[in-house]
Amino acid sequence: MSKLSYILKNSFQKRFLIAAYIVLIALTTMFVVQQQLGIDSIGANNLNEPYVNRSLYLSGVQVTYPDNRKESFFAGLKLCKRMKEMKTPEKVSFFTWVRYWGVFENGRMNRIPFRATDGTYWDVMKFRFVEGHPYTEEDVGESKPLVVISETLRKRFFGNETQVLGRQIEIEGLRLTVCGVVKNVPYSSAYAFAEFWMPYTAWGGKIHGGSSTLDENEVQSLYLVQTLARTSLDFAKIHQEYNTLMTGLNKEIESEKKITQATLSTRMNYYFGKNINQDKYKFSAADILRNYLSTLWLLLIPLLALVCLNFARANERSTEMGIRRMVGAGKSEINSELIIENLVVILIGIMLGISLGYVTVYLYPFIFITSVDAGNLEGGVWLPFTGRMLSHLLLTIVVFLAASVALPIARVSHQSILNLLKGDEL
Amino acid sequence: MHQRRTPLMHYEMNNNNKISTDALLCVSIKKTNQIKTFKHQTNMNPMIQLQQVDKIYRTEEIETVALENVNLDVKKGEFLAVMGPSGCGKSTLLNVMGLLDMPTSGKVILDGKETFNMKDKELAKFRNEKLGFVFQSFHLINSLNVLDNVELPLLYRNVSASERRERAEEVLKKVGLSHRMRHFPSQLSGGQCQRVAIARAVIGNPFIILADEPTGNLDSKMGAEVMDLLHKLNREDGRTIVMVTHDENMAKETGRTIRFLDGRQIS
Repeated sequence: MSKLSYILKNSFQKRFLIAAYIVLIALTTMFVVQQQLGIDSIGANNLNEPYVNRSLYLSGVQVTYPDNRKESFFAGLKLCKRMKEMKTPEKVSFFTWVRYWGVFENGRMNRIPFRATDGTYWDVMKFRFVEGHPYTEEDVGESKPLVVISETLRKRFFGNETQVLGRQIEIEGLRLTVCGVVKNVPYSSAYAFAEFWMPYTAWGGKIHGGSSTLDENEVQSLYLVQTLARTSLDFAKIHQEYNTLMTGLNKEIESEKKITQATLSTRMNYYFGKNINQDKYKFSAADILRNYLSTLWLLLIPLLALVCLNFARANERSTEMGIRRMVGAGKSEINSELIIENLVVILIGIMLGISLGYVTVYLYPFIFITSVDAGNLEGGVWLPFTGRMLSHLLLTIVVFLAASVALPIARVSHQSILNLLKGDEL
Repeated sequence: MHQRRTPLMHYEMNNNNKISTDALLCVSIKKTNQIKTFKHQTNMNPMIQLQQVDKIYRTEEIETVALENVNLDVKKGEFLAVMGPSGCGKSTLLNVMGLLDMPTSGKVILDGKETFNMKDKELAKFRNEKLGFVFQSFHLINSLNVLDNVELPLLYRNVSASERRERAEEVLKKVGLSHRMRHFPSQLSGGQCQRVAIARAVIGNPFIILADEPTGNLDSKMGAEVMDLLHKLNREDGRTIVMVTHDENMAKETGRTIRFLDGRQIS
């Protein structure tokens, strides 16, 4: 038996304790993974959104009326079209949040998610077209009633028919012509997920107060704006240009209202940054530290449990460490044995936890999302493994390892062999 | 004749009134009604030398003198018994000899090497290569089987797995436990546990075996078996053995007995 297997064989004799260790670490890792996947599903590039890390988004617009009444909504066409004229970004696109259209089928009402977009949407996102092509800016300009549908929707409307391009589908009185079929989009693609996409000009929805989404005088409506930078180094310039645009726009509408908040930021900053302001487009050291701390709090209780477990183990193994020292192991040898033993156990727990984390996140929408029509989840869930995930897992390993070995190593270093043999408590 | 104690060795006549010829010193000793004076004739170093060794345990409130001005030489191949009442410093003496505890002052010289300035790594290596320990409470690792327990010292000598296994099996055969190799300590009797401890103590071919009341937890039959084993190791293999015991009969069977009282050697 090699020395490593000797060490591990001894360590794994205490099956109950080791199992408790592994379960604790696995559960904690699972929570860390779930938390990070939640963050990454919003903030990381994914299959259908490959440019998240060099995009700035305008999600919410707040206006203040002369009577100091405030109203918050999304961007309107006036603002969207003004932003499309910006010079610094590579591309600017606007589209709605995912909306749902009711379809009465087989005696029940099913809701199908869709988006109304401009033509540039297909350039800032990445879709795999299995048939046909997307609609263009020209098509949108001409209000052509075109639609791109998912594979699932294709099957639903057309069964196994070989040719669907040019065919029409009817949704709530709207007749749309299929121009393209795309691979199903994962539910986790925050701004890409839907079952069909159509030009916003063909949709013409209504917002609160009865205004139309096609009203070109509105600064508020239902649209999100994505500005795609050439590189993230351009963010500052884009902000500058945007600020100038907003100043000009406010001058135009000042008699009616004023745009008091319209933050252009990265997705990560929008959802997780502490201070939402227009200049804050990348995480500072404090933000990064806060991000790690947001993981560390998850580890607090299991850490406490680990330390208590280690107290029990340390006392129990004190005599064993004394015996090893007695027969010729140096302090550094014992310490490295302790580190190896604990690292193996921790890695097993971590691997189990990663698996559990990914499986639970994958299954979550299938189990808990009831408002989404069955079949809308056929794109699955995109589960990235980002650098951020890796760094949080490494942090978890380091923290658990430190908690596991600190006490035993302190004991070996500070207790004499005699005291270790006696099994004296620290 | 007035007994004079020198700072050097004490000798006791063995049972046959023959003096060991390994080394002779200018001492005066008293044994029953015989007094002999010897001259130092050889330069051969003793296997264990303690020179003016003190061991004092200090806490905030009290100071305990466990050993006081101990001067002791143990020759190579000697079987020395250490006796004395409880708390007299016998076990402390063994711990200091075995480098399990460091003296407060004085020198401990083992196989000609001064141990005072040795770093942890050197001390560990020395314990691994030159010393073997046998304790009253056996000190076996309960989560390892007999074979793994016996192999333990060789693990820290970077001996290959096959050689470790071979040597462990050989030494277990010697102590009569070949049939118990896969058993765990909890499945063995006291005498068998002690034999495993002895096997572990000798597997590395140490020069010195230190035994602290090796038969203390055993009945007389098992105790006799263990003593036979120790004598065998001393006679056949020539190992130096220092044994702490309360048993006068066992002490008489050894080559020499020294006595301690209140941390001082009295004979």
